[in-house]
Amino acid sequence: MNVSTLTNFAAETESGIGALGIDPIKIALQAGTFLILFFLIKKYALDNIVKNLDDRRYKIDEGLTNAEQAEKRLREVGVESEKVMAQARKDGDKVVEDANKESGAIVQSARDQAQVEHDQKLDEADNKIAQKQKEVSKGLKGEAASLVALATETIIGEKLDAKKDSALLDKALKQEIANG
Amino acid sequence: MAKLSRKQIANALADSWVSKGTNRKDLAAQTAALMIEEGRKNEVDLVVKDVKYILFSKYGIVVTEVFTKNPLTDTNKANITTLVKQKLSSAKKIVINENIDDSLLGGAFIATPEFSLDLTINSKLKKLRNV
Repeated sequence: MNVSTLTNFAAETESGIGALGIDPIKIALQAGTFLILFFLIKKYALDNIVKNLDDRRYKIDEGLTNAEQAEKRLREVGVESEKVMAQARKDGDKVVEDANKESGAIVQSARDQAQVEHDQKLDEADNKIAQKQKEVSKGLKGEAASLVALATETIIGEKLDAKKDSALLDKALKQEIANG
Repeated sequence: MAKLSRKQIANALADSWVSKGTNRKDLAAQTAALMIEEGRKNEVDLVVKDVKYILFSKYGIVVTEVFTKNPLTDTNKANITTLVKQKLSSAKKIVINENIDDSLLGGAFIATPEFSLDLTINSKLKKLRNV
């Protein structure tokens, strides 16, 4: 069959569907080509593409889930941090309050101690003064007694004769006898 | 011949001293001679002390040494006798030996085998000085 024959045949067939411009053979060939292409794509590429898409979707879903979880966690952490901060503020206030109380107690204790030491030193000073006075008084007494003794000795040496001595002895003896 | 102990000599002396007819001066001289001869001069004071003690404990005789500046009057002696008898109830006889001590200012120091009593002005002044 030559070209003219085919041209004629085509011209003749343009009477049915061909009149609409639709060539069934071409359509069949295109459909076959499409199917072959589809088959090839499905066999060699589609699975991988779908798999990649699935992976990507999975990753995206995972990322979104993670993001949601992270956001949720962030909110929780925020709440928790608020609680921690509140507790920390409370603890801090308590520490400050305790420190104030303790420092007050320490200051009071130091004052009391200082007062006690002050009183003790005053007492010691009073005692020392009293002791000193006593010593001075004793010294004066001793000195006075020595002077009196010396004066008495001198006077007795000069004035005490045998008669007076005898009378004094009698007096002393009688006193001893009276004392038993 | 063995030496007599101090106690034996004191006892013999005390017994002889109270015996009637004993010449006490001779007795004292003989005892002193014996002590010197035996080289026991240092014990004389102790023997005398022992004799006084024996005379008191055995015979109730209290030999009282009295040290004064001036001689004792009869009143002084009577008072001393009364005082010693009061302090030593077993005393039958009080013998007073007077000793004049010029270092004393006045008063008397009385010593018996059992007690001594310082009534001198010196001791009173000493007490005054120690106040």
